[in-house]
Amino acid sequence: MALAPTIDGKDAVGPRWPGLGAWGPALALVAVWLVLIAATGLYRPDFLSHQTLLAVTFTMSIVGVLAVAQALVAISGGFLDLSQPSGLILSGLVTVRLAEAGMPMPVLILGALATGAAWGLVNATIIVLAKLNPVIVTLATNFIGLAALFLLFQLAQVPRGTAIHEFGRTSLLGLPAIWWPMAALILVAGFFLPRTRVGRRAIAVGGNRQAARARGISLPRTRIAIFTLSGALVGLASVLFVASSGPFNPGSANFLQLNVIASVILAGVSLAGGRGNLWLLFPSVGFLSTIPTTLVFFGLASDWQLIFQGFILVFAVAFDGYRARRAP
Amino acid sequence: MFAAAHPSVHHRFNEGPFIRGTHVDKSVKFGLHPKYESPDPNMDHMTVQDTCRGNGAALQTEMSPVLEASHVAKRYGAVVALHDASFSLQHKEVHGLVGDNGAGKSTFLKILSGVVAADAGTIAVDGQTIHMRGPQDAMDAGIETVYQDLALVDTMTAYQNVYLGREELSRNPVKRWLNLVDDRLMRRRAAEVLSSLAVRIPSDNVPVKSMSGGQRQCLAIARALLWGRRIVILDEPTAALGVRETEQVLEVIRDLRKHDVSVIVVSHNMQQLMSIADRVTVMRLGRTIATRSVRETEIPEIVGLITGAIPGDLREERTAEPATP
Amino acid sequence: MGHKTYGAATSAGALAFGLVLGFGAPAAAQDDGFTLGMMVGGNPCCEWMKSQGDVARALAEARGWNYMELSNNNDPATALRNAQILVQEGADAAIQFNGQPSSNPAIAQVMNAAGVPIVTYDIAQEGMYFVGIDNLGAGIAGGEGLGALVRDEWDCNPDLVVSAEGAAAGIVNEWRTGGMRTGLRNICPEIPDERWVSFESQGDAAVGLPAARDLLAAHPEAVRIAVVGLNDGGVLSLIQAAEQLGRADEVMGWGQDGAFITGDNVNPALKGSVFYFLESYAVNAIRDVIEPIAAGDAPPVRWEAGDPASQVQGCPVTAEEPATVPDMEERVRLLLEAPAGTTAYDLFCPNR
Repeated sequence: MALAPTIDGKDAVGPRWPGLGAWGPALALVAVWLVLIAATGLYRPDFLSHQTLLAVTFTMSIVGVLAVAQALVAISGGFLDLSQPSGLILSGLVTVRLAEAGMPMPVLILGALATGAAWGLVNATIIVLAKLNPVIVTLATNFIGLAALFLLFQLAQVPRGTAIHEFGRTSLLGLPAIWWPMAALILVAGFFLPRTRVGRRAIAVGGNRQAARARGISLPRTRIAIFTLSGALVGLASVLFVASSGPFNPGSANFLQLNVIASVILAGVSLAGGRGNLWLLFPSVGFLSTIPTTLVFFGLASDWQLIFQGFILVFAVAFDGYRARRAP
Repeated sequence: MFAAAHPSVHHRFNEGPFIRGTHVDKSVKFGLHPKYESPDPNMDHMTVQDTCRGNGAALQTEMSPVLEASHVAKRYGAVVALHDASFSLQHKEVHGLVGDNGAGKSTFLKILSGVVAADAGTIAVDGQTIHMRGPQDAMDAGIETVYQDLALVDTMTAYQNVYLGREELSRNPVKRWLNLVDDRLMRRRAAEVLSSLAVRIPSDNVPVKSMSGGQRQCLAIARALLWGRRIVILDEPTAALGVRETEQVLEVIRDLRKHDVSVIVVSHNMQQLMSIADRVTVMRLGRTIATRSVRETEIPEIVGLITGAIPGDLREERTAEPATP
Repeated sequence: MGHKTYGAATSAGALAFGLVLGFGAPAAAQDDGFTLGMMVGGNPCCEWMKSQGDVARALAEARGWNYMELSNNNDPATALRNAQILVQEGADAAIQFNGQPSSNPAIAQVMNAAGVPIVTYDIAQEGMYFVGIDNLGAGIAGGEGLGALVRDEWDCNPDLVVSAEGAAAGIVNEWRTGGMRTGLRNICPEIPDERWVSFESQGDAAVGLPAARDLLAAHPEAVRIAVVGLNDGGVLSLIQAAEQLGRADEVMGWGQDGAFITGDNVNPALKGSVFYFLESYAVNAIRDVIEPIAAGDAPPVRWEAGDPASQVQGCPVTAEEPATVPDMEERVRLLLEAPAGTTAYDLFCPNR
């Protein structure tokens, strides 16, 4: 066919990371993480200890689950769900109340998942019915939720000695018990998102809303499904949170937001939607959870860590921008 | 040979009542495209090889139209976008739709593709009236539209775009239950339809945004071809392309006849249209005013019809009749 | 004394701000008698804010004063409007708690211009009498409480002394954590300098947890760990981190503010805390500032946190002792029955 020789890849740009294919960014991220670990280990050999491993993996657990929830929203074109802190505390409060009532673990988990899903559904319903920007809606619902939670309670914690209290303090195979659900979630979600029909449609909606609609994919349905699922994952995170965090107040989850967003960006999830590999959240969350620990080993005063957190977000955004410019 | 090649024609399209009294006769339905179910590009090779340009339609004029729009009208508030548009598309015909800005082309096109609901008039595919409630209804009736924006997801690969919204689930019951898709099948079929169009796509693992404009246009056409069992609508397919790529895309459009579909092309470029179309319908001020066989007309006549320098064939009261040449 | 109801106009205006808490508030400049205006914080977080108002009302009524109460609704603009309302209504003196201090300078200006003296709690503002906790004193008292345990249990030889800081609290953080370190040193002066470390807990048990784990990981050899902090939450974050890293067996913490030292869920490693009896602020304010003003003998405006008009004394308690302290409702009742000027510390602190 006359066409064949002329329409070819000449105008196109090749793969971004030659030789590594799609796994290039993942390997780069893992490499940066390993360099950080190696450098700190050289400076302070006692960094490479089981204690450090526990400290880092505990920190990863809650952020990791929230990052999956956040990434699902971003990939499907919802940009960001800023209502995660309120959703987490709300689900956490339900979990605590169920624990106080002496309910067994499965009931606590179901209660948390259902509460989180309901929170996500409320957000999605407002977004879909009012046709509003998800960022604005979730910013507002987070604010409202926080204010309402302050009216509901001041401090809450799961009772000492209950199964969930133990769950937040024990280790399993040398790692925190609360770490395993996070790792499993990243694995499973990362596998299913690009390989299922619903997942691919969610990605399509994020990549090009008009195109998805023109191909018969329903935007409202996708949005409601994603926000509800994402909310349920926030509920899961709340189980890990109340299990491990002890007494908390309505504002106690706010500090997670920045880390979660930075993790999502650093993992290469496009905030514009349509692109993102959930598996990369593992090195991304791991890297960002390791940094504060290394700072302590390098002897930086604790107030510096807050400053550093801000820098990390800037770094993540800059890294993403660099990647986007290099991308075809 | 037709009957042998299209065994499933009868039991699908003899169902349902005759619509609107058009001269539908069972005997002439054999020309219809056979691909009702999930497309199998292999079947393309079983269809009539018709490489002659411009004369394919002549054979078909005796037959019932694949698509027939009658007295379609649309108003937006006080503004009448479409007064009265009627149009018939023959099997394996490339039919140009031209008109000045504001003539109603794009409204008409949106109605045909189900994006906009008409206030009045009917649209029939193979003699069956279609109730268009949305793009899905048009797609279900075998009408695929390639818009100017192409409706491609830039971050996805070629085959993923081809199967966008119609992802094939795995045949393995467990995987199917898990909602897992069959990538190998989709990749293979997409590759087949792309190669049947002679479109070279860099790699299945490269996102669409890294492709050239021509490649993207051809990909969108290939997708329409795979899913548009009877009708493909192309909206300004070359508007965004350079000279070289335009020629490539035009070649692909000419080739579409081989694939047993009928094509509606909306374009501003008269020369291009005359080089690919069998017939051209002219719209002016919200009405379809004339249809000409490309072989029997010249560009100046079409331009005259567009501008109003030459009056249309039909009186306003008579626009109901399909303007067959 | 007879209560008069609000004038209709004011009532409507106040309702529009959604801040009427007081009922039967008498007032108006033309009325006879001394009028005390009270602006409570209105942060839904805390019981004691409401209690402050109840105590102030009871004390004012006991003295035959008119009493007017408004809520700042935890909002700086509302606080400023409340100040203007108090001036219009002819208050002779005012007390406020403003958890959103950005409007404090403007409030001071309004009150000073109208010649209405005002007491502010907890956050110092030039032009307002300052009544607050003796944070340094509370810190030293808590540190000495922990020091006694460290001396008795570990022979003044802990592997690590951790300060759970909350930098956002500024000078209060320095007073409390610094005071606790001083108090601990008073008992155990020989602990080497390199064993004193700190981390940023942000004063929240949940928020401080990651940094606490990091700190413990960086001191893997430490077994006997003493913890002081800005508040109970900060101390608890390190205790919980130790639990998670399997090192909680020999951790002893002593907090401030008493938030986690009461109830059924007290962490066994939290050995003590310091009660502030916040409901009793009004006793200090009225005894040391408002009463002299009502008697026509206004004291000088001591507004600096380091040199307050009146100081609330912290009450160190061990984990066993809170059970002997009545709950807030009971404390308010007993406080109001006590002779004038008696503070909650005087009544309830087990270690006074």
